Amino acid sequence: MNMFYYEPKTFQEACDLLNKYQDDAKLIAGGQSLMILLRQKVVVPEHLINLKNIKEGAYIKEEGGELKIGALTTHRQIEKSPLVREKLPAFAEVFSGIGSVQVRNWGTIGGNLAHSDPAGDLAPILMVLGARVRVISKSNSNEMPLESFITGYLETKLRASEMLQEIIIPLSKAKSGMAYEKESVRAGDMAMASAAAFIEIGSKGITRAKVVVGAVGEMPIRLENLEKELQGQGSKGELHIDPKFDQSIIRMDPYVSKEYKYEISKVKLRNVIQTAFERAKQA
Amino acid sequence: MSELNVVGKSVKRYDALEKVTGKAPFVYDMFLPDMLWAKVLRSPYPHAKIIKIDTTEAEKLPGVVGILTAADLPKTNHGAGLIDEPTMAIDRVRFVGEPVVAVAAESEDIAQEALTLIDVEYEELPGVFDPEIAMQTNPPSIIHPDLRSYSFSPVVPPAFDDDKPNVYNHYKIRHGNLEAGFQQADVVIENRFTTAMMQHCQMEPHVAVARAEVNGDITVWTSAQTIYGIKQMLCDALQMSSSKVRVIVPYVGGGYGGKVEIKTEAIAVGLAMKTRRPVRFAFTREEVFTSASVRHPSVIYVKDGVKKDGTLVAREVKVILNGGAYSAYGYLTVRNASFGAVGTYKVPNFKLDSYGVYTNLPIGGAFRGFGSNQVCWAIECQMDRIADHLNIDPVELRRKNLLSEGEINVSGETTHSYGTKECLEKVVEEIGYNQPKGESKGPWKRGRGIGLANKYSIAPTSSCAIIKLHDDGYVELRTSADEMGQGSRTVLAQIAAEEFNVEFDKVKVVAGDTLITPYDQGSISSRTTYNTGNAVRLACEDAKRQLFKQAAKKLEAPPEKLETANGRVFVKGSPDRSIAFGDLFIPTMFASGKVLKQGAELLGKATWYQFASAEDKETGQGTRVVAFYIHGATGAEVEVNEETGEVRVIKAVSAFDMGKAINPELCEQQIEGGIGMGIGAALYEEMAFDNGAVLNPNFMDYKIPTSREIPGPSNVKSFIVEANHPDGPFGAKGIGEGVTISVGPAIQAAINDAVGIRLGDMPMTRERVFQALSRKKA
Amino acid sequence: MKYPLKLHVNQRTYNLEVYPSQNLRDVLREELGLTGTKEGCSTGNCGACTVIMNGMSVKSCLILALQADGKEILTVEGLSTNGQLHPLQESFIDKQAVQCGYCTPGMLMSAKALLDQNPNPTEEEVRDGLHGNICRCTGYVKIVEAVLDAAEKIGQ
Ligand SMILES: Cc1cc2nc3c(=O)[nH]c(=O)nc-3n(C[C@H](O)[C@H](O)[C@H](O)COP(=O)(O)OP(=O)(O)OC[C@H]3O[C@@H](n4cnc5c(N)ncnc54)[C@H](O)[C@@H]3O)c2cc1C
Ligand code: FES
Ligand code: FES
Repeated sequence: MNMFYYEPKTFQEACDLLNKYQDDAKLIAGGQSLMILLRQKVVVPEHLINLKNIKEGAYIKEEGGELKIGALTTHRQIEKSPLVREKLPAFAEVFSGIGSVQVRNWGTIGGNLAHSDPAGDLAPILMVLGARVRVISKSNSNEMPLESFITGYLETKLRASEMLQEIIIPLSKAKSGMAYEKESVRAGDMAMASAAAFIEIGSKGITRAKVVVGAVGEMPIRLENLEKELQGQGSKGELHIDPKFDQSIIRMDPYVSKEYKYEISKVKLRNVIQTAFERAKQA
Repeated sequence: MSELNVVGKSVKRYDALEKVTGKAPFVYDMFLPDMLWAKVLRSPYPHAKIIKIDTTEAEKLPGVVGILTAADLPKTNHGAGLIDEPTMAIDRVRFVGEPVVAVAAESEDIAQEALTLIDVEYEELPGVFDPEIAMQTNPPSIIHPDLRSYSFSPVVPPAFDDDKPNVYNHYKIRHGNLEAGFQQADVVIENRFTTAMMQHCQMEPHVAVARAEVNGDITVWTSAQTIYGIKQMLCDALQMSSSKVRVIVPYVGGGYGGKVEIKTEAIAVGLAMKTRRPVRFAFTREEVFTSASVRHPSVIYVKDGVKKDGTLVAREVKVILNGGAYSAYGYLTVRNASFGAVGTYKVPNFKLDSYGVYTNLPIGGAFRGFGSNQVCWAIECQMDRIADHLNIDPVELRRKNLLSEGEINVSGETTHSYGTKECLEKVVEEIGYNQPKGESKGPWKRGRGIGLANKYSIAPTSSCAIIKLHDDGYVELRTSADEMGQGSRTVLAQIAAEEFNVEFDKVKVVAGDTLITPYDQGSISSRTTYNTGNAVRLACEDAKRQLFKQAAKKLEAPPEKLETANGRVFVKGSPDRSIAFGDLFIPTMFASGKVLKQGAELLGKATWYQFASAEDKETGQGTRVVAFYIHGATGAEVEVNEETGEVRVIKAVSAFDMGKAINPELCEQQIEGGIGMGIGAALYEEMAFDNGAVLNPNFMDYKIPTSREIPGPSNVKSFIVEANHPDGPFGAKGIGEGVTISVGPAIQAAINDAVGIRLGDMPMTRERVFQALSRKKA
Repeated sequence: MKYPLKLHVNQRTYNLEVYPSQNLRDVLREELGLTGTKEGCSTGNCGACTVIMNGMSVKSCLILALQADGKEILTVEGLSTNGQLHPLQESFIDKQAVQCGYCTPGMLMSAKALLDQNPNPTEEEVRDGLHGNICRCTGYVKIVEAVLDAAEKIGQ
């Protein structure tokens, strides 16, 4: 089958193409996930739209107390960004665990989130940070919480005519800390279990906690019960963490048992909550 | 022995310059003019009858040039000893990934698309995957109903079992009196151990490019490590006369035992003959996993009788190798795996049964260690458990039971060149075995452990070499020893340089072309340095004899008074009476080069034949069953996470006895590489299956250790021990396979030292460690 | 349909026509004959296909050839200049960091990108910088040594 190829220079041009070709079109950013699917012919688009020439799509800036990252920004740009390192050091740290340097040099944050692999490293931490995404189409531009953007295993709210433009991360003004940990067999492997936590503290201990368990379910999952239990804890310094969650969310995995995934998820949850709490205290 | 000039020196690799500049020829990089691309439709079923193959739609696809099925090929099997495997499935498929139809097309994409247009109708048969079920008297399926009628190699014929229809070979060793041995024992300890299926993961996937010449001859370029073995299998599979087939092996991007069978060659040749165009058949990475050979998963039972002081008095071993769909080299692995239980310890009363069992899984073949990995894993783990039981230090227990020079081993051979003790003591010292443990941080606990290994090398076996002397003083070596990274060209050139007393770079190696390089059994069984090395020495002697005969006249001295150095022949003791090689040649008319007045060329040639003694079929006893044994020890220091079960190797130290290091740095390469591969086997690598289909046929899900999982240069140390072998060139044996074998046991012992658990299944994944820790807590 | 592609490889410019589905690795190898860049997996895991594009190391099997349009690409064939080996190539030979050699070109390109960014890495940093390249032969020991050795040479 014939495949047509486009190189839009702006988001608007890209949206126009999407609007025109709808389901027959496929966006490619860094290709670090898509190239494999193209080769296996799992994805066979008629119109391939390369986003890498959208110069306006790669940026990191602070605006109105928020960090804004263009969807085309590469992992490596964020990892090395002095601004991110200053404002969200724990977020910057996550990138060194994504694949290898080569993958980070070309793969993008937008592609990572749009691909929506539950084992991906970015969604869990961005979820606890309360990140929003800007979704655009030919004539629309909407913001939505990342949490509602991700809908399932390799699934998002994106419609055929829509794309990701920007990721917006609010910068907490409270005394806060965050942490992310993944369990992976080798350095840079996709996670077999992961967890992220964000904690704000006040004089009476934890005022706000957000906790996500990643990798084991169809998508990263907020653990609201656990968050509630953490509320108000820690005023004396010690936390009582009981990171149990509904085991039925755990997906089958050919390599490790659900029981084991559950057990290491709990270890990761305990670790990130403790670390986030310590970091909040030091903030 | 007089002082050595080149042998024993770490000269830089012969092939390094070509490799660092990207110029080294590999077959995967070959694209011939007018070439077609081959793709293969493979069985989706683990076990099925083929009812019908319909290729009509595929044939109509523009760009498809030729389609090949078993119907186009002779109905003959091939194999490494038991001739049981068709080139393409004939009427039955026995594993997921078995080739059924091959297509040659103008492009890779077209060939791939053509596969989707082929219709194959199957009738499924029950699949058998567990070797202990497969080896029952009434298994769910008999995978080779014609087993008893297959032809086989007369050199080491297979032994079948009347009541086990899926067993393709059963090897036995009987030594002493087992019953009596167990009666003497104070304690009897029995355990079951297992190892997983591994893939070699050579970085260069399997590939062949074939060209049918106009006269009907065939030229095949292939990435293989047994050039003559491949040629023979091709001739068997395609019923071709051997002079019609030329096999060329340039550099090989990794072998490790996995490139000894015709996985791509016969199909490429079949298509080239059919289409009359050059054909490239290159495995994808996925095909390497599904359709090349693998390391046999194993189940091993060890039952030992010991005295209270730790002395072994009886040992009974049952080895079950899951052989997959065809025997291939696995036919020999069944026998040779047994030697893992032979080479290290002294056991007065011994019984071993090793079984190769057909199942509907990928084909178990040769894999660096050739069965010794599995058997030594079991034996070493068992030694540790005996030590636990008797409350003896595991190293002390080993010291007590090691063989000694001159002692008879359980195969009946006299032990020679036995460096185990020295290796063990070196590793005890260097890993800091008796030092206090490193401190633990949080959930991470530290521990150290040691494992031993032996690796036999095959016999009978042979290698040949040809030496040609040039008029400019260069020495040309022709060899078919395949260069797959182990450094054969370098080491063999060093031996030739030593024999002729020339500098290393005055030796030219011509390698890997059956039209011009002589027979060699191949780069397997850690055999090249010893066997081809011996052949090179003998060929050099032969060349020198002729050289001296011709020079004798000119120098007016008898040949036996002559010696050679730096491209000249000297009268011994008279440095001023000499002649350059070139002066033996005379100029020809019209500046057309120089010619030798007699004999056309100064050519030396030799065969090295490593004999083996007769071996009793019922007891495995013989006086020379193997060529030699490599010995050694590895020490590991690990960190274990008590919460997750993760194990990290912090430090690894190996000491190995290779007889004599012809090139010490190249031996270090083998030791370090062995440590790396051993860590992969010990902690990470395992092929996973669902109803016979590989679930992880890629590097994302099949986990090879990276530079982050293997300790860096400050924490990996290799030590060379030289227990010279009387038959080896300059005392050399081999080194290639030994090290990986000892790594798993060392890590197992270190984990126990750290957290007090004994594991018996490899790989020791974090889930297994976690489960064992949970059991311990409970 | 084919599209025009202008590639600057090792300081030479090539004007080609390629399909959108082609990856950079296959174009380098099959169209330009630059087979120093290796194929080992096609899933971005082995690193044998690593090249340097506009100063960054990338896995050329996971890059659309057309995405490289107008970019400067360095492959192993361009590493030595005027017959003079790059210090990394020298160190790989001297430290015996080469075995089968199939991973070597990709390893060299990753190492070059690493040293360009961090001329004075520690052993840990080298191990970290190379973990996107698999070597099945060496256990990485002599490779890491060679990179450290080259860093020292370049620094002098
Ligand atoms: C060897 C290897 C290891 C890896 N390890 C990790 C890891 O440890 N952790 C981790 O999180 N990830 C890992 N990844 C994945 C990596 O992070 C990818 O970069 C990322 O998933 C995809 O980003 P991309 O720009 O390459 O997207 P592409 O592959 O180009 O696209 C991915 C998907 O997103 C869509 N898309 C891309 N951009 C947009 C957009 N702006 N708007 C809408 N849709 C868009 C595409 O259409 C496609 O469906 C690894 C990848 C590889 C190859
Ligand atoms: S071929 Fe590109 S990473 Fe393996
Ligand atoms: S040298 Fe063989 S893979 Fe690295």
